[in-house]
Amino acid sequence: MFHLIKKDVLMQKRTLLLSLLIMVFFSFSLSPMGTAGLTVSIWAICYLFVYGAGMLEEKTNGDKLLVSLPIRKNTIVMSKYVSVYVFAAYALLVNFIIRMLANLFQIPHFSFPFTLEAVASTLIAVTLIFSLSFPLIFKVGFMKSRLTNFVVLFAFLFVGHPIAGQLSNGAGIDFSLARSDTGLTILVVLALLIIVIASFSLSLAFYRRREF
Amino acid sequence: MDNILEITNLSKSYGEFSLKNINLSLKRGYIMGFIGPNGAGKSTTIKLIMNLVKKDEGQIRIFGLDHEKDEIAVKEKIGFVYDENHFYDELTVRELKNMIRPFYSRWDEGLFQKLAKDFNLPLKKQIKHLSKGMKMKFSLALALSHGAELLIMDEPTSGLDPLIRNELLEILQEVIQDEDKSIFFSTHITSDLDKVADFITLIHNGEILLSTTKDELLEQYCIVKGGKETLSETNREDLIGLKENKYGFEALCRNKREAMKRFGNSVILEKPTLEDILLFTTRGGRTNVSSY
Repeated sequence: MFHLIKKDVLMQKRTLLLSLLIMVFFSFSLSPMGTAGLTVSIWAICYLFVYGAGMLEEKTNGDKLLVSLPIRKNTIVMSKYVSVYVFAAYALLVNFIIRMLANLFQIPHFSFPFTLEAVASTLIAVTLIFSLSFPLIFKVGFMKSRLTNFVVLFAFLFVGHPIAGQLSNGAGIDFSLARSDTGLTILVVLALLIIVIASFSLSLAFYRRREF
Repeated sequence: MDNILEITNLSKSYGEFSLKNINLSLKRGYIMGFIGPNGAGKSTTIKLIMNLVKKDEGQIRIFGLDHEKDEIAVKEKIGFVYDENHFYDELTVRELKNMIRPFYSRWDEGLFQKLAKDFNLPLKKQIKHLSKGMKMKFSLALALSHGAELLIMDEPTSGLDPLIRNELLEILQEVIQDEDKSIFFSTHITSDLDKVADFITLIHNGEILLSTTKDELLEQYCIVKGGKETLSETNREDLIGLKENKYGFEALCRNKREAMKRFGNSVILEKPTLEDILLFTTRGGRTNVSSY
């Protein structure tokens, strides 16, 4: 699996510079959004790399090569899920460095809040978005799923996020992970795990049925 | 001798096209040429062997193993060369080799380096900057470096210049010196098979029209040319791909001795090439052809 993820990175060496520029731009333009801005920035980088690799693969029907090699299909599918967290870790690291530099040079409004809560909610959002996107990607491919997944993303950002906020403030449910509420944390982790497992199972079923 | 590849009653339907009841087998140590016009079902058969598409019915056994249940074990010992480039354009030759290498337990890095040197492969060059011939040689180097016992090649020579084609055929002949290896080679350039194939399987409209040794095919079949007056209702039945004009006829006949007996000296009998057999057979339906 490591080699499949490494391949996704190596294919996009040029995208690395672009990703740095995007993160600097987002740090400047989206910093007033706080945690939501960080989520958008991390998601954008994950999207850039995950879709970038997928598009490049589809350009040459790279799946035909992968499926012809002695690689289990669940490894191929799993590598895409894991790659999201590799790209998210990279984006978090860069954003953290930008934050450090902004603090060092005392540049105001030029970085996102970097709390455990911010990082956790960003990872939760990225997990949810890609768990929703991947099954369709593995069913029809990256190109054909792009538009539908964009709709899913915007629905998530502009409908899901405010609803979560309302629930958090008004319905008496506290989503804050900053409070050491172990029960709630376990609940969230379990819910996410179930969503990821369901998404992975669906993606694998679609990929196994796909013809190349 | 054991069969390295055995296909039994294989069927697959795609809308209007269907592959019907395919049966063929390939023994260890031989090259089978898989010929047929475009759209005949060659690539579909290869995709089925490689489990890139799902079969509707039938069985495919490779090295005596089921190609679906034992997919990983089977693919460990298969080398493949496809008609189009499916490599990642952005990677260099070395990067792609390093990505593929860990998946093969029997990878021989020394052999790859030797082949890369012999084939003049530019390891630092991106795949997108390689010529078609270079990409094919790279495919071949990858296929040979993990000790593949069966090479599956889908139109490997199409689009290559005669020099590279000849080079490829020489490499294949070298590969086959090791009697443990076999090659399944699909092409519509039949002259390639004149040089290297031991067996010929002809597919047309999703059906196997013949599958036999190349020598038997070229020895037994003949082209019959003669005047129209020599044609009768009875001897028409023995002719494949009969083509008539106002001066006479020409057709393929499955049995040269039978043709000599039937027509005597009234016709000209010529030795066919594989291309003749392909053309007459696919033109003239599927009667009177042998099945191996």
